[in-house]
Amino acid sequence: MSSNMIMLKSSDGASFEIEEAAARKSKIIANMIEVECVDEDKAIPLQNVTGNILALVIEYCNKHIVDDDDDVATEEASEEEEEAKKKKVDDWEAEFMNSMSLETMFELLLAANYLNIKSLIDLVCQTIANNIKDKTPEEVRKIFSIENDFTPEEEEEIRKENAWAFG
Amino acid sequence: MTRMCDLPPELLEMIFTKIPITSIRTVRSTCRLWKALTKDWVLGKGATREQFLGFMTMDYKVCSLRFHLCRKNKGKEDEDLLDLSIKQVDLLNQVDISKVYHCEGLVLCVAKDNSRLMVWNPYLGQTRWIVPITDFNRYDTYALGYDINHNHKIFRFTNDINQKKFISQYEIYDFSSNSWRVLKVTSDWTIDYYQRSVSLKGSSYFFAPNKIIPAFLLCFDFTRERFGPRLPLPFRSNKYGEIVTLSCVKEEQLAVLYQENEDISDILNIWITTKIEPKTLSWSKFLRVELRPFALTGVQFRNAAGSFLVDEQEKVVVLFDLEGEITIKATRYHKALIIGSDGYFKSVCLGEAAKVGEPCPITESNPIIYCPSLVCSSSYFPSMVQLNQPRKRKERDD
Repeated sequence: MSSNMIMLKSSDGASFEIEEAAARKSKIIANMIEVECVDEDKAIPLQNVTGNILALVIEYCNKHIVDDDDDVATEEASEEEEEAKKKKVDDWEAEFMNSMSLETMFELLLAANYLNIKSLIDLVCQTIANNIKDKTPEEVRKIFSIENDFTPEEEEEIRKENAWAFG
Repeated sequence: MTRMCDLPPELLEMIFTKIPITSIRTVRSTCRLWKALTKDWVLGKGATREQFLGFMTMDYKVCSLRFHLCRKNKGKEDEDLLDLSIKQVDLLNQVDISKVYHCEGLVLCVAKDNSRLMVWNPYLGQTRWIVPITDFNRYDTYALGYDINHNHKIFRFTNDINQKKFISQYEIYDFSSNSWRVLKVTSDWTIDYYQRSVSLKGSSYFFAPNKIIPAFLLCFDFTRERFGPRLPLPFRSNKYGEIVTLSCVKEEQLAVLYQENEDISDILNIWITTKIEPKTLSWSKFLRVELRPFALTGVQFRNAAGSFLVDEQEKVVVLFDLEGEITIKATRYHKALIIGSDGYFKSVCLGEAAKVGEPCPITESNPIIYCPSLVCSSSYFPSMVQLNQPRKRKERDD
């Protein structure tokens, strides 16, 4: 069963073949398969995902389906093995996220959200959050091209909020 | 081009929940939208109430902890959402901290060498060092709370009957006056030094094992600066080797974990309060767990080591423990065990435990060589309480 292949089609017309087990990482696709609205000869059209982003999603799903299989096979794994395996996945994820721009991350996040792939949403959110950690508001605005839209009064209010003392 | 502002609010909120406690202020100072989306954080509501945010010590370093479990479809584990992330707090990594307490946005850290205390407001990034009137020692019991005027205080004493030469007077530290006072307390009970107090609504609760049966709880009221009457426990205590650990649930209820002599019983019982008032409380059973199927090597939920969290909504507890053989040579691991009443069980490895202690010079096999991680069960939300002598604030974005 797990070697069943299905076709996905991106919004810009690119087709991708993916193992059903990997595609099931997406709750939306899994549901489609459940209710048998997947025609074996026809690609599933994904209107909201472009080809380059879909390629990343598939790369992620393929990687994680292998890891999940490992989990079952090595339930009795020793602590060391478990640690090593976790580290391997973490390293892969770090590398995977490291190679993309912020813009790609946002698009990947939107795609993961649309396809409902919880673990990928978590991974991308965490990576974006890491860009906020330990930064000043000014730095954050620069990184994410956010305009400082506080009025001088509101700026003053924030300053007060941060300096407000009890008693 | 896709930008941050193209993300829907629910995704932005999801990103914000991944931000460490120490960066909440940055988020709120960035732009109007972000400030509005994180409004609930400061009020301790919304998304922040679904997840647990708090603090713990691991290998004598202070860490922030985030825990969120969502079991959409019970029985189908692959659909669970589990987020358990622990991050060392960089700001504090210069100091070894043996105990950490939290009460309403302030964090009390006890230096491992017992030379001083540090209080930290993570939201404001302020710290204050506190030195004792009489020397602190490793058998001290601490509690952090506040009085009716929301004035934070620290309560400190040693009355562990087994550590007679360290027994100290009762002292209270007032944040507004930045000074210690001696309190007059008479007691016919004793508190083991490894028992950690739990703060709830400004008061602190202690487990007081007594030579007299039954054992009981004590509540210290920071307004009156005295202990209240004895409060009942849901089990009969006072047997050798038993384990009792307190925790709290969402700043509203107390929880207590009880294990009979760990050598003969693998059963953990956990109760939470149904009613809690200064002079009375009542309990209801939350969970009964048989540990043996889960932990063939034997979970060592030892008295000094115990700490846990309760997720009432998902009906699980999270136990923090060390796993591995208690010998000097074997590697041990920090573990979080997530256990539910319906047989749910998940073990999360938090990493290899550092050999932080000193081995006993005679036996060389003192288990204190490893230090269990201890979680503070009170959940965090930002507070504006100023600590005097604020550090020079980082340059602001004017």
